Amino acid sequence: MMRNVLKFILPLSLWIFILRDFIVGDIPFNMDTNTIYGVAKFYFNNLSNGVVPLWDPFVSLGHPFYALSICNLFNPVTLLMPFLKLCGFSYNVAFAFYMAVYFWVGCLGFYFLVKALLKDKGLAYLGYIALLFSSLGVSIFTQFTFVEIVVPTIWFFYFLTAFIAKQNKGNFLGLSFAFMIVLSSYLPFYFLAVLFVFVLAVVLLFPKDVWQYCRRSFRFKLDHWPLTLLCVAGVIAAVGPLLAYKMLDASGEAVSPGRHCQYSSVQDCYDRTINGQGGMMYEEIARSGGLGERFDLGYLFTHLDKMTYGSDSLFFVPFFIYVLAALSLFLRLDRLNVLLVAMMTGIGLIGLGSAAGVHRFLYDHIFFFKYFRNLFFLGAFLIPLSIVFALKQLQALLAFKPDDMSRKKLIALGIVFVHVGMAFYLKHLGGIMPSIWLTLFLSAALFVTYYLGGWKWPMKFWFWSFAVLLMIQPMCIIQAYAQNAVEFRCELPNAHVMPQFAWVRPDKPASSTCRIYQFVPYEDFWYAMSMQDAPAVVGYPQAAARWVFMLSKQLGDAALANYAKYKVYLYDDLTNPGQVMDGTQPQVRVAHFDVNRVAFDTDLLKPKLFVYNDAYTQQWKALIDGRPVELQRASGAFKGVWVEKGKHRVEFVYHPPGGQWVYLMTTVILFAFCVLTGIMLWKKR
Amino acid sequence: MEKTLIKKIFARNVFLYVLVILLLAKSVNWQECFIKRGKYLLGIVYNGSFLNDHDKTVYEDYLKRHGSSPEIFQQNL
Repeated sequence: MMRNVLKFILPLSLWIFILRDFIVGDIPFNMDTNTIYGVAKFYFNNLSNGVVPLWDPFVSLGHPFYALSICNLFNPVTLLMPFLKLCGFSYNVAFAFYMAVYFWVGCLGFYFLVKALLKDKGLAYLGYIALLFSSLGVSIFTQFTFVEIVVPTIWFFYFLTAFIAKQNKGNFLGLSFAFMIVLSSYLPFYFLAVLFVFVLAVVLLFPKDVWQYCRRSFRFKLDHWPLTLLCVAGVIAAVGPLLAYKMLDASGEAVSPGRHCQYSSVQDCYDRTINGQGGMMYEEIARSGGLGERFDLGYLFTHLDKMTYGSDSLFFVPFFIYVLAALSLFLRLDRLNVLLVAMMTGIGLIGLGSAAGVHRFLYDHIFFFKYFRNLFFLGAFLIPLSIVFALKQLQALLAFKPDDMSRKKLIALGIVFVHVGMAFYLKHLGGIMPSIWLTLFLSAALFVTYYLGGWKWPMKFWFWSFAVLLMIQPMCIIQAYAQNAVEFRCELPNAHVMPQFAWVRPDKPASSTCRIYQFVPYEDFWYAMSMQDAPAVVGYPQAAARWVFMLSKQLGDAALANYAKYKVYLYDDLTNPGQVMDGTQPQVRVAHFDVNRVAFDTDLLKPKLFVYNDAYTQQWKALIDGRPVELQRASGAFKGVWVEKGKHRVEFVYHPPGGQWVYLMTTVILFAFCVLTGIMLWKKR
Repeated sequence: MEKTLIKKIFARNVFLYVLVILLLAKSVNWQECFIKRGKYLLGIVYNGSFLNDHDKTVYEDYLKRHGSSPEIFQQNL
């Protein structure tokens, strides 16, 4: 038992050691991971203050906190982040640790998947090593989205394989749970695209098996209808946050995220959004973010030690995987090989976007292809697929055990020929790391030894040798990547914050010398992380409330900032200028402030219109002394209520569709399913 | 004899690989990929101001390999 645990922990420890500067928070998260960290910190920081954050009052004059539905916040593994925070770690270290654990959970899932597919523990272990030391692990610090979409997909396909082999409750629960995680962690459309390609390929290649599986599966569901109902309920609960997101989006009260309109005018995009025209134009999807933009075949091998932390296009699998693919040229072709290659090709062609015709066709004919861009995310699925394919070839290579000398010599010659061919190709490319040459040389030596009689030696020796071969080159890449990233060292907001109400918004934006901000204007997330007010401008928003956006277009950013710099005004009537409240006057005091709710104690000499310069949406409610009153859209875009003279409590409360319960319920249900699946599988074991 | 040989080739991975290479060669607009990747490596996708000079080696090597140069590429953006 201990040996088995060590077998998995030791490579992981090595991986953590190489990436230690990232894990301990010396190097800040970059690109989309920075965004996700900002969202996660905002969420758990507020949660530990007793509030499920639904509104972000700090940025763009207040806007719905949309992003909580698409950052994997309800996953049981993500709960590690608040747990570690409670244990005394800072938010960024807790987040890095959670990312590493989640990726590792994916690697373990991959171990089980390979074991189920190839029926071989040794190959499964090589799969674990190969995925751990692929670019998927390194990319968690720039593109954690890769891992968010790939990990549940790996577990989904593991449970699907297991369920096909053995239809029991544990596997069915696991399958449902993995699907629930897919639905609740990020946009599920990438997974659906992969599933689409898989179903298409499997129906064409294994029609009889598919028919039989469907029949057996249907019977299982009928026989176990209470379990089926439970799983359906779980799936509905898991889709709750995404539905809440969609409902808010469909209400037309906010545009989110503005980035989706990057290539049309913002006004045009906003008009389309509030008119209920969901989805994106093809040009918005195809203009950038395709696989062809992020990866180049030549760069699978060259300059892998030169990649900057400012790029999220790092894509590699251990070089030994390519060697195995090359050695498999003359191996027997079977249907599983065809399935794997068809999936890789299909996903690759979709990921290439407008550079290949497939995506355009799917965009025109299947609705969900209109709802996601960044097609290079699909490249993340190619990593586990290529590893499975290569390991299947290794299995076939190892099964071949020649015993007469002439055959031995012939095969050894073939091995040398393939390796020399690869060496010439690499030499032609240039920019090859020494570790690739070493891997190539050791691979040739090992295979020649194997076929010349080494196959009689214990298989353990060979598997450990292959494990080393898988690790040599990626370790050097990761090491170089970590060194290149050192110059990005700086600190992100990571302390726990009790948000304080500020009466005045700052004139100037917070400045940061952090090099990560060179790549994307992530200041919005800086404010969310630190829970401090941004200047009163909308500009080019990640997300903005409808009327605030309109007002910014009408007045211009400067005039809006001049007015909305102060958060509270009192008006006798709207024809006269209002009186600015800056916190020093006794008429208005803040009684309570959190991101979803603010309460003021007023003591006025005569009735006044109380205007709170935080964006108005229909989901906001106003209360005076605990009783609901009419909330007005004041000053074009903000919240206003009439307040009588004397002492009163004025409250503004945010109530979007589903409220906070949808998120809490999803968290609890996912946790319950995780425990239930674990228990079921443990019992079966 | 010939039939058996063809059958043998069709039953090997090499047949599948050739098929995939042909498919990719015919159905993908590699020129479009080249331009988009060049823009991305140059940094304009993100910051719009050609600031991403950090992986210059990769970028210049990339252009050289495709028979282009930074000047030609920038002039034609």
